[in-house]
Amino acid sequence: MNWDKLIPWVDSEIIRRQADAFLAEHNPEGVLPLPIEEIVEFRLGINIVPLPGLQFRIGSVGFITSDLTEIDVDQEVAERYASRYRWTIAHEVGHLLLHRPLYEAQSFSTADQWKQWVGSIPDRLYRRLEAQANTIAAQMLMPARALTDHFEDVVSKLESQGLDWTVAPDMVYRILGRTFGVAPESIMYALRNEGLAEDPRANA
Amino acid sequence: MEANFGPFARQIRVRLGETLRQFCARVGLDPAYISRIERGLLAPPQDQAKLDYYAESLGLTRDTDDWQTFMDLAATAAGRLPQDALKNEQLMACLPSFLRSMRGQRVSDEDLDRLVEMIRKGGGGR
Repeated sequence: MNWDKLIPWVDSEIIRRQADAFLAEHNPEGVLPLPIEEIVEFRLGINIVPLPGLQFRIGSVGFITSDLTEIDVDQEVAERYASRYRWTIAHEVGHLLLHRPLYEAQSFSTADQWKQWVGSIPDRLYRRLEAQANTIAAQMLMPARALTDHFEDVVSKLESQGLDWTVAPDMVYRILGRTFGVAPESIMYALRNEGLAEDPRANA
Repeated sequence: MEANFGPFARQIRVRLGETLRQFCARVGLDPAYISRIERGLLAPPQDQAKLDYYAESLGLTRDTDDWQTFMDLAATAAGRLPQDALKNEQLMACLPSFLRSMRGQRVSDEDLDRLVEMIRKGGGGR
């Protein structure tokens, strides 16, 4: 199996453009937080299946089925951890958008063959799969333009009250986390990736 | 119109504009249970009061075509025994092509076996 051909390196800019195209099609009005659950169920016609015990028993939060018709998510995460739930769904949609050739190439007809297939994907390419899905999930949930606008808005409001955001970055991450429906840590990494702001603690 | 109860119930919910999670949170039903009904893995409730509550929660009104269809399909579904385990082909379709652990690590063989059993018994998949 030519795994490198099935899971090629893709420039992150290209991945971001794919995310932008997805948003233009499914969230043209730029609603925030991105209604990813509604898009998946209503527009893509994919079932979101709560799977009790997935995280506890398997150590996984979610996956998209090999026939691309269902996203299974740990039930507790779905019910109690909104931002992780949303990230998981966006991540799995990322696989759907980016990794179709891999799904089309898969060939297993028994559980043992499936285990062999899953186990045969090289580690470095496994990491590539996950990194690519995370990149597109981040761009879908925190589009660069919207993130920039909202970040500048929050910073500007703080400054108007004589406050420097770098004194309390966690507060900014929390505010933006609520706006985008993601964890504050995701905001921190996104701001850093965009070059919008360096966490003042990074150089400490 | 859907010819089976589960897909019909899902169609009505989607028409209502609620995701599975939103619907179940609003009406106090277990999403894993409703998901399995919608996917035809479980028969609809046989208790009439529970069935009525399900229909009303979906916004259906008595003496309408949709209400009647909902009840007719439920009665039909009651006569069928849901399969207790997925057929192999269905099982393969329900498995992930690859699996993400919480920390992005590879999932062990034992965990893969557990997942197969979970899905085979109808925990996930259709």
